[in-house]
Amino acid sequence: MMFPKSIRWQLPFSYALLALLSTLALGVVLLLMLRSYYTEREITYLNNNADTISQAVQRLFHEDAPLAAIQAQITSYAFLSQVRIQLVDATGAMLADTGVQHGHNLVSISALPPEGASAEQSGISAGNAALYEHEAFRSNYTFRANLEVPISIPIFSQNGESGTADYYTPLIRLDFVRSDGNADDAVTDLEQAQTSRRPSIEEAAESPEFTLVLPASGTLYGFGLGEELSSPDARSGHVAQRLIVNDSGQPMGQLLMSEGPAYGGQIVAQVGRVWVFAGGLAVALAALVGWGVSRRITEPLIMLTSVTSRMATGVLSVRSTLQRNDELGMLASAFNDMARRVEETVVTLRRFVADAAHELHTPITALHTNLELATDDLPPSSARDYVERARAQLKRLENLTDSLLDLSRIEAGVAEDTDKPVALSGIVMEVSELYASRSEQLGINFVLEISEAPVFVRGSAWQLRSVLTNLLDNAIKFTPPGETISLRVRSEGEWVEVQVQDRGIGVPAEELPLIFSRFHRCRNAAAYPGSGLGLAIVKSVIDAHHGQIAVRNTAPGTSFTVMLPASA
Amino acid sequence: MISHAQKILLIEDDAAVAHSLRDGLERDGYAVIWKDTGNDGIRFAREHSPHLIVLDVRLPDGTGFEFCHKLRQQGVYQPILMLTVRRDEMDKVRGLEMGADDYVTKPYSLRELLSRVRALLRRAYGELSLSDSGVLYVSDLAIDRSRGQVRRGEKLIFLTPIEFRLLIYLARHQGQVLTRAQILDAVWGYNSNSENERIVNVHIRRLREKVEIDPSTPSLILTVPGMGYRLAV
Repeated sequence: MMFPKSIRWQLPFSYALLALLSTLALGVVLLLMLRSYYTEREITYLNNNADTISQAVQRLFHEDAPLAAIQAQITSYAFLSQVRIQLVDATGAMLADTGVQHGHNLVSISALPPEGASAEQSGISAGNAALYEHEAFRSNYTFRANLEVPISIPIFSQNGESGTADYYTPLIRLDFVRSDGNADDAVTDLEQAQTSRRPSIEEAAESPEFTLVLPASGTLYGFGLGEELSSPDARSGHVAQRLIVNDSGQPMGQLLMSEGPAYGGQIVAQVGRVWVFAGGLAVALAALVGWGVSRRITEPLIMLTSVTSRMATGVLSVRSTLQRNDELGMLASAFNDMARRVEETVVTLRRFVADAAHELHTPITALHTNLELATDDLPPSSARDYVERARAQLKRLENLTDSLLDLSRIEAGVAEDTDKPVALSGIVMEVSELYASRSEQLGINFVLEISEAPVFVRGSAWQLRSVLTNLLDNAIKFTPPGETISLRVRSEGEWVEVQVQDRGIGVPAEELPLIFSRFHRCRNAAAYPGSGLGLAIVKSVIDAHHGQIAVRNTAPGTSFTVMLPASA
Repeated sequence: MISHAQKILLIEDDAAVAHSLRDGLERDGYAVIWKDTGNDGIRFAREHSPHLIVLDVRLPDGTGFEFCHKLRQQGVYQPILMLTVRRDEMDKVRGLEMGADDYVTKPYSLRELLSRVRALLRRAYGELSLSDSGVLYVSDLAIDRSRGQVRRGEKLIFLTPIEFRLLIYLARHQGQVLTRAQILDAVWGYNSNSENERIVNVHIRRLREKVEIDPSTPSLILTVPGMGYRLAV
């Protein structure tokens, strides 16, 4: 799987993953707890209802109520508690079974036309909620809320056959009128409702107009427990049994209560949905926060990286401007300390090279002048020859000193600006005039090939000049009179190619890899003057300029090809 | 001899260098006054007005650049030749910006230094007195057309008539690139062909051997590859 390498992406991913895991864990625990809580509630509910209803039924038995009344009563209990109630007598015969309670169409609202007006006239069908918006309608009509219970009464005939009689019996009927109408009508059927022994019916009577409040004592009858969350279809699987006994404690029958409302499942499902939504939101938020945090971390990191890269290119004065109190701030200040030390070291080193140059060149200068004076004074003699030889060796010492100082300066000179555009064409022209003149004096042909358009590279002018002079020095040194050396400069796309070709003694193949090492002198070059540092200087300059150099034997002769990145 | 009376102030802290340089300059006929600190040198320069000042870059009481600047600020306008140590671009540019007229890099050859001194003195004092006498000056060379003589300092350089004409032609077009055909036409009056052009090469080589300070590394008569020749400014 592709996982982004950048912290900028890793952090938000980790945050989101973390949020997802904790949401999952929390959600599972929550759902389990809810499930067990509601299971307990379902059982408690069933048991409480069973206690109450069994006592009521037992009282009816004691009062020798007719079976139909008991059945009707059980039906209304079943409806109110939304539990299936079965009554079995001592012999096991089913006396009443309310069936599964669905609670459909139990409440209907009908509008009664004002006195004297017929329903046809009004043209309004019952239950149309939009009617409430109609002012004339509201002020004139009376509304009736009908709570009707489907009753299914087992009928036992003489011959033992049984059947059921189905009808609806009104349980509660409430009529509502506007408060400026006849207020007494609102409680028209209050007495009837009270005879149904619904103790909470007074609350309905005290309700504001147009609002039907059903009995709300949830612990007893279930209304209000699940509220709108409870689906009428969901049933719990628990069963409660109560014995009905007579005065002497003899079992008269058994009350079975089952298929109670399964509020838990509904709530768990609902909570589950909310949880998925909240979880998704949490993951998105965590990813967002992660993104913010990663930006706070990566931005200074990117800045530090760019500062470090600039320093690596040789800009030693560069410092991080990051001001933070955290670890990144510490890193930035540590970087600045390091940069300061490096800068100091390099400055010291450069000063040392300058000092060394001065200290070495001063005595050489004095020696030089004195030997020159001596040469002029001496008549041609062996003493004059010795002085001439001493001068030649002095010249060699001077070149060696210069080369060593150049080399240490190029290699230590990280601070030297090798990044400004330099007109290579100009340097080539200047250097080739000198070398063309020298070649001419030595009887060597000098060929220069350079494009008309000026060629630019990035770097240090004196270092690039030293590349050309060292390569041309070698070319002239090893090429015999009458032969040709050539200098070619051309642009090759993003590169500038400088080629120096001579017709000299060549480089022995086995020594090709060694020629750029310091003080290395080829076997066949022993007779020629030199320090063995020229090509080492060339190599370090090319390296400092991010270029490449290749050497090739072209028998007779050698070809050096330098590639430097072109400057726009 | 103009140069005989000329006073050169040498400001150099290293005794060995100063002694040898003083000997070399005195031999060429100059009067040399040596001071080993910058401040002594400035004092002397203001009081005695030397004709030329040779100023080292490293001095015990400051850098040559600073003293060069001070000298110019204090109204000393004589030529200043700086002795630098590094072949650094920066040193050269800085020296010239501070008011120096020329520089020589240590270790220098005495000949080269003397050549610079002569050229500076000639530029500052020589040309005025000799401007009407038909003398051309190139670097430290004085080309006297009326007498057919070339001198470097006091030393006469003997040239053949064709070499003399060649040098005069180059000197008249100093700094300018001259093709071999142009040179042939002007000096020899020939039309150019490859055979004739070789004549130019040969004579240039000979001329260099006589007028260059170091003929093996010409710095006066330069070959411009593929074009011709140019006399360095």
